[in-house]
Amino acid sequence: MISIQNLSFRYDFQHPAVFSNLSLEIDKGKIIGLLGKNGTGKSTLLYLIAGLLHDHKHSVSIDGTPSYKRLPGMLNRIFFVTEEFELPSITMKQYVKINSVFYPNFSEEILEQSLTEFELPTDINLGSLSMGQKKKAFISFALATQTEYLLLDEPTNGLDIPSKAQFRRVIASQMTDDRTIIISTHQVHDVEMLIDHVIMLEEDHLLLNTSLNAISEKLCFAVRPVGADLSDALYIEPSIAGTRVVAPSDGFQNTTVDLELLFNAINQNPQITEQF
Amino acid sequence: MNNFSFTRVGLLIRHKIFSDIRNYRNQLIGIFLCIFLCMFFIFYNVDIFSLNATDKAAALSISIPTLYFAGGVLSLFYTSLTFNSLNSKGKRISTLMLPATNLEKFISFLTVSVVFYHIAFLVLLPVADLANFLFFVIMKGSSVFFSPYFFEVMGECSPSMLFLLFLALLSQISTYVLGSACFRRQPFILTTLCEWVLSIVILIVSSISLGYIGENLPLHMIDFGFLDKLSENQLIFGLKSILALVMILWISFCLVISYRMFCRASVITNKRFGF
Repeated sequence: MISIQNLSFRYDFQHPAVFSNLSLEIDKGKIIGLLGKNGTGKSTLLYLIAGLLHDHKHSVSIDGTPSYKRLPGMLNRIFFVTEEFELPSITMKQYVKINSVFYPNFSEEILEQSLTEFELPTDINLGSLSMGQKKKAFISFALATQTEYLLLDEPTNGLDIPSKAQFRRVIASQMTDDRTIIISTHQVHDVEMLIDHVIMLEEDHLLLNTSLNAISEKLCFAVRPVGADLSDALYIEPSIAGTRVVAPSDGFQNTTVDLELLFNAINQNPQITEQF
Repeated sequence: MNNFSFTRVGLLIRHKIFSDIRNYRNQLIGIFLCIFLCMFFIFYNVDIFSLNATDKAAALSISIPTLYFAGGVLSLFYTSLTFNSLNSKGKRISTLMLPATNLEKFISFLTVSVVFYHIAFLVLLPVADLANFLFFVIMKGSSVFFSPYFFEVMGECSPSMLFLLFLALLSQISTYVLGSACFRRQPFILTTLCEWVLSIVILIVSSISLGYIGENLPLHMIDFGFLDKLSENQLIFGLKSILALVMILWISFCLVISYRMFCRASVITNKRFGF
């Protein structure tokens, strides 16, 4: 379990605090969407979880081990696919040879499956790949490590439209009960069919931390024709097809959560979160 | 799992070398060319081996230190690359996220940048010598090997002097390790500048302090007679011991501070400085 207790963090005294007394617990077996506007600290939170940034109170721990210590026993259970990553100009085979030894559960079979799903050959030279292909190769390696915690920072940036669908398939196929995947993104459409829990950040605090099931039990998301009754709506957004609406659920029928609409609704009307 | 492991140090060394294999290959070529060109210009300008014994000794007294100097500068240059894995954000993340302890990573960095350089230098010295030998045989019809003279100079030093020279080299290396931890860009140039500035400052401060002590403290009340009772050898031994102690303290200071800076390294840092 990832535990964050009263996390306060700022980069320096010239900048405002990124987090103030943020507390959060993330259980295993979930795919979590970490959402928030630009600059709300999504990447910073992932860096703190991975031990790549230090807070003074050492508030972040993974299964009881403070993450700032960066102990091998913790690092071999966590893999971080960052937005900015560098792959050496060597073959995938050589890359696997020098990196897989650090991950006791590494599976060549999963690597091959993922690369095949991404339509990449297994004998690629990492130096000759495009940015999107590098990302797919790196995600494939990350999944093959079979670490308990997988952190993905803007994983769909740089991927073309078919690759985004491949990404969802690959992630879904490698998800297990003892694995936690945290996906930080502002492209909510890319991951909304994938995630089962959502964490929203705003300024220095948590705006929302709940499961999609809980959301769909309390709220309904619909497109109503122009002129329809909107008196029950908590949030409305005009669109070409009609009016997109977030309204309280009638309790009989759960609708699919529209993450983008929810995100906009909560940003405009934070009181919606009081229902969870 | 979290204890120090030599196996993991080995794996980290392999990881560091193979992740940047082209760069290390270029570095080896750079070391070879540097030694080769140094020898070439020494041989080209002074026909050392046709000189008489006195002139030969004089010529060697200039040419061998040139090679030592070049080797030393190269050594410090490669040492200043110790923390080049932390230069960019992407590299920092992949380095810091590797499942190994900070100490294992630190030792693997030192091994690659310091130990491997010196091994490469000692291996490439006779190779460059052989290349020079063949070149001059083809061009001038005769040549001799230079390497034996290179090591002969070391054989002439006393063990205590060799030990001091070794410590002096280690102090310089430690300084550049610290420089590499401090400066993300041009660590070699910036460390050299800092060292010069620091040396000048220490010189000025110590001369002012000594002047002040000489003028204001009642030194005539202290009995320095015990110095007269010491033999010259005892005095030299004492001075060497103090020098060795100072250098050991400096080496320890630089390595400890560099290690602590590495332990505290985070992904978001100043682009120019590592602190």
